[in-house]
Amino acid sequence: MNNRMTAGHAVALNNKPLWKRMLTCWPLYLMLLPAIVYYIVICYVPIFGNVLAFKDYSFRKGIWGSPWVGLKYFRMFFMSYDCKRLILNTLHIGFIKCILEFPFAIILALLLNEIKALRYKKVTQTITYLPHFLSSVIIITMLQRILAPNTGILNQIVGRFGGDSSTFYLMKPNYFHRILFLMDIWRNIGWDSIIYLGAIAAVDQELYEAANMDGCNRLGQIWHVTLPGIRSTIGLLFIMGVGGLLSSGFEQMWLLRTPGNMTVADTLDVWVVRIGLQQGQFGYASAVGLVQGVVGLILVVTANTICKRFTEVGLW
Amino acid sequence: MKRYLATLLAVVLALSCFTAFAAEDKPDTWIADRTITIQCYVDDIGYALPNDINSTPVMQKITELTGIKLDLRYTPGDSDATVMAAQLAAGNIPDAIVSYLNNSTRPEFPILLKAAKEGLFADLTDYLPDTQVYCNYLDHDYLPADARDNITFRKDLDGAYIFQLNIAAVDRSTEYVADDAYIGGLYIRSDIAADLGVEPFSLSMEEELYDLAVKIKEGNYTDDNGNPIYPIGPKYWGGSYDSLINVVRSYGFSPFGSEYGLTTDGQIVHEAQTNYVFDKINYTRKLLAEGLMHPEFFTMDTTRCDELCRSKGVGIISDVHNYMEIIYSNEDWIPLGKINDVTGSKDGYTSGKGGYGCWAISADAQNPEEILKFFDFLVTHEGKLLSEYGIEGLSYNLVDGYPVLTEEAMTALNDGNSDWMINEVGAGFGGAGLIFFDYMTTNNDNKVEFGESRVGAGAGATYARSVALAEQNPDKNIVKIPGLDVSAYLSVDELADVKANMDLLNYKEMVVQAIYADSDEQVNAIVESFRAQLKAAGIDRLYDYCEALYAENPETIQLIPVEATVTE
Repeated sequence: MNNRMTAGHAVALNNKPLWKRMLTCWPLYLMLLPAIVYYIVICYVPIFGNVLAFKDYSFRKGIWGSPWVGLKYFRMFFMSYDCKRLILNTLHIGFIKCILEFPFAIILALLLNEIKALRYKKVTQTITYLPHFLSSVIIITMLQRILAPNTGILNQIVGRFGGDSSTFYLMKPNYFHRILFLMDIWRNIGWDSIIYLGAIAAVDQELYEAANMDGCNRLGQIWHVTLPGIRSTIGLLFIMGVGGLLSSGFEQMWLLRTPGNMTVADTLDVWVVRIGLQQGQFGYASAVGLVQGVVGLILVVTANTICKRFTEVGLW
Repeated sequence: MKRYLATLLAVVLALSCFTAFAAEDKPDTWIADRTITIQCYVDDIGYALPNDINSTPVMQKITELTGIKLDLRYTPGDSDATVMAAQLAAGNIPDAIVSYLNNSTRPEFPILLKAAKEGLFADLTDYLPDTQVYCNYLDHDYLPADARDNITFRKDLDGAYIFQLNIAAVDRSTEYVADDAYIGGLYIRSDIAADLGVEPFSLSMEEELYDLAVKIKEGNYTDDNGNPIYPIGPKYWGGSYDSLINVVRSYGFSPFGSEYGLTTDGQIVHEAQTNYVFDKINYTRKLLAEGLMHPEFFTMDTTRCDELCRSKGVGIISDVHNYMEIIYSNEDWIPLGKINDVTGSKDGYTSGKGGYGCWAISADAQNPEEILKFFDFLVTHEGKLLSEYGIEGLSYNLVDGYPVLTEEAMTALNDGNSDWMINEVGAGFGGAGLIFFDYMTTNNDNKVEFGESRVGAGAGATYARSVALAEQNPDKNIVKIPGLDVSAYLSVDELADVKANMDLLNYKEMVVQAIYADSDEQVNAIVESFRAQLKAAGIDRLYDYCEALYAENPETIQLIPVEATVTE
């Protein structure tokens, strides 16, 4: 009865103009205000800074007063010797982060959902979340020690089994992607699985009971009930993730980069910081950042269209 | 009416008398009653700031003499240059800034130059003649050529904006002063040296170093924990390409350690385009392949390097110097000396006077001449005595006109009690205390001015071994070859596009990458790719510019002709 009244009330509210709704639910809108301010100030206002990509930035004149240079920086970048290598490296790492790593959080969420011992489940969840809160500096310092030639744990284990214990993993380009992949999974899998666990919790329990009555075993229930139940969440996160294909993240790449692996570890994000902040070529760095942003947007739109066509799941 | 006039006159007279009296009360050194806010982009300064600078005895005395109070700021970040770039770009600087700047090839310089060109700093040209010390900078022969022509009095600047610090009052760059000499480079464990009969300063050739490394390896020496050691270890301060020069000195195309050199045919070229790049790479590859060099020679972090050296985990440290505690506090390590350079010489080279650090005053600062006067006061004899030695009676006493540290100050210096030096006194103590004051010096001639080359050197036993090692050094010859590094000329306007491309190339990283390559074919490919990138960056235009400049005046670029095979 109470629920029906609340639903009716909501329908009535929806028919009112916005300002009336705001007046009625002002505490909710007040709570929303900080989030709106945050997005405006931190996410939307800086978008106007992209104009730097077309300007010769002057410290004194600021963004708007600096002279226009047209597409000079874009030409410089696309004609530069490093352009192709940087884009390919970034795409490679973006593919690992956005596509290859994508299913692991779903798998962990499905596994955690199957654990019946609540205490064990909570301990496991906590252990998998913890690495997310460690800074990249700490993780990579640990990694450097673990992978150190001869003295690192990994090399010592390899040595114990008669292998070559002098491998300098961080200086070999062929190990770089594997290290990155494993490190990322270890660090993010727990945290990323939270949203899927939330989505799984929202799946109607009656569907499981019905599947059980139809003779479905646990695996069948996962396949026929859980996964379709969280399909929209998976789809949304995938679409948003695809936007990051041309973005490798700066901090992790910067710290993992050594002279030995730089042929594969030099990415657009690292390059933007090197050029922009370290050498003060703000316009040039902004141009490359803008290319990344535009490509990301195109990828998100494309992925959204494809997803919508085949799965009816989309961001808009 | 008369009464009013008389009263008014009386008031005016009384006020004038009071003002005159108050003015008389102020010392000659008085500048203004104000606080100067300074942003420091120097981590050494940032990590040695007092709890409250204006309450230290030194600063209170300075305020009493000048009226100035200080607000020193430091913002930690990824690097000081990055923080500076971000703050300058935001136009967000206080009254003055202080930065690293050994010379115009430092990474900070392009940012500082851009800021100066765009009017972010105050032009102090008109105020310089009124200063006591900084007026020397106007003397054509006072500043090093780089500081004069490329930093402060550049032709493409319409004023004097950036001022380099730590300029010597008199050019003594070719004088070897054991009291003050840094003996850097290779240091060998003294027990291993005694065992193998290796004398200090006995090394001359790469082959000798190789043979020594082989003997260390065959000797199966261990560290303090009983683990086997590597014969050649990284630099004490952390793995780096920079210490490679001590291992492959004669394989460097430039005797000065520059990436550029001059062939006997008169060609200026990059080392990557000569045979020397392969000599360097192949020799190092051999050391690594035979387990004679630590595999993390180039990459080990500072903490681990420190641990490694302290536990004697290497036979030879590839770079450390006599003023590091690990060297002067005991007899565990002895210097091996320098390998000959490409010309077969062990001479040290200098281009003359040098400098490090710089300051600039914001164009928006009120009365910039007051800030200049304050910086000038700090480098007068009175200012230096205060800011470096502290307060007479508390941290030093004058003996025969020279300051001698008190027992308490000497103990603090020897024990490294920086808290006492920074907070209880607030003086620089030659870089052991409040580093800001030590950093802000210039016109230095410490031996003449204070009777000792560094604060406490005359009375302390702390650095006795440092000085003894410097006295032992047989290679005391220092040759002056004036001029700048070729790369300094990348900052001229007509080569701006070449510089933009060259900034993306990192020769050191390329060499390390080639050293760790899996095969000789890969080494060739890496070097050839770098050569192609140099060409694509427009390096030939830099050569043309520098060759013309050098032909006109050989003192503009520091070069020595060397036999080399150049690849087109």
